Amino acid sequence: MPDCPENDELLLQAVGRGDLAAFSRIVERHQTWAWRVAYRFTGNEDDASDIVQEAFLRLLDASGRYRPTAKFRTYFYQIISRLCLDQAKKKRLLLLETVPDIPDPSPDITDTMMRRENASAVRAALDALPPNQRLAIVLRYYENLGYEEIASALETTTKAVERLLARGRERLRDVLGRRENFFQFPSGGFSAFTRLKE
Amino acid sequence: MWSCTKSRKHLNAYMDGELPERKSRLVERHLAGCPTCLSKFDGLRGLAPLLEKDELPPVPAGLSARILAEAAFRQKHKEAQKTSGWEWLGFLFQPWLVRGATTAALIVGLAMGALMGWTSYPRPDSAQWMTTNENVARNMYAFDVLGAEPRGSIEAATLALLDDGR
Ligand SMILES: [Zn+2]
Repeated sequence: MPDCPENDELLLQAVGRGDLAAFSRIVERHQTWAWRVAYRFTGNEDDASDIVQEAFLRLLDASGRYRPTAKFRTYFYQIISRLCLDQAKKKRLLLLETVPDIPDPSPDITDTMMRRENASAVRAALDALPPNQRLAIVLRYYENLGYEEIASALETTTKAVERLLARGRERLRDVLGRRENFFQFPSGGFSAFTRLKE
Repeated sequence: MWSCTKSRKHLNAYMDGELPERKSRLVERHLAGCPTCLSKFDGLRGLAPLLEKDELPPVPAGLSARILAEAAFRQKHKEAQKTSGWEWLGFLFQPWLVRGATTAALIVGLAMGALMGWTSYPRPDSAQWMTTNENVARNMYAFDVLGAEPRGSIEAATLALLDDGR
């Protein structure tokens, strides 16, 4: 991923003065990772597209008020994270409204289950996580962010991030472990550990 | 030497390289002597290669074009508002202002109603035995809408003018 912090901050300030070419540059430079976060979080192309589009447009709307006290990336991670969590909340409400209280084995539900079965086990395990744990996992594993950066994206503390990751991992292990014997470490416990330390 | 509970509490931060040096050494010392915690640690480490299995589709073609088109539209709209000099109209339609104006109009209306002697309760002279409908009917007739126009009134003058014109 291209990283040129001073440039991004200057570009965003130019956007604030109405420079659309600067905005186009920002989209070009950051759409790939914005897409990556949104897709890893939602697991769905339509939802991810909506999140990415809305994130850039919010950036545009807020550009006039942007002051380069915050790093561009931190700022944008925050916008995307907020949108991801909002989307999950909306989706949950929608599900509560549409799913009947008594499950009936209609073709629709059977179909969903079939698709679930076919979806990758990892995706299903990620989807099963509560949204904030899933987002912490996504930012840690796919974006390689440290606790401090995850904390500012999620607008929380590093301690809370540590807890979210621990719980998320525990759950992933539970879900994936039930499906297959995923967790047999190939080169064996202690030897692998000692080799890691070398 | 740290206990299992204490070591496990720090296992995530240790794996993520977020634990201070001194604490990291303590975790390592525990792991070296505790197969149970070590297997737990191995399990945690095994997650990273698994998560890589989640496929990532490419950014949809046309997504950036859509974003830029919407941005251009918004920018144009903003500029049009600025240059037309009518942006103050937007101020008039602020929800709080509309609500304030409605409330003010209501208060003025009530005050005028009070000044003109309207009351919402039956007056002592109104017949108590009449039904609401009968009261309405009586009030209707009380407004001379069906009677002849009083002499010297505007209505009389208008009718006279119309008569002349014929
Ligand atoms: Zn132990």
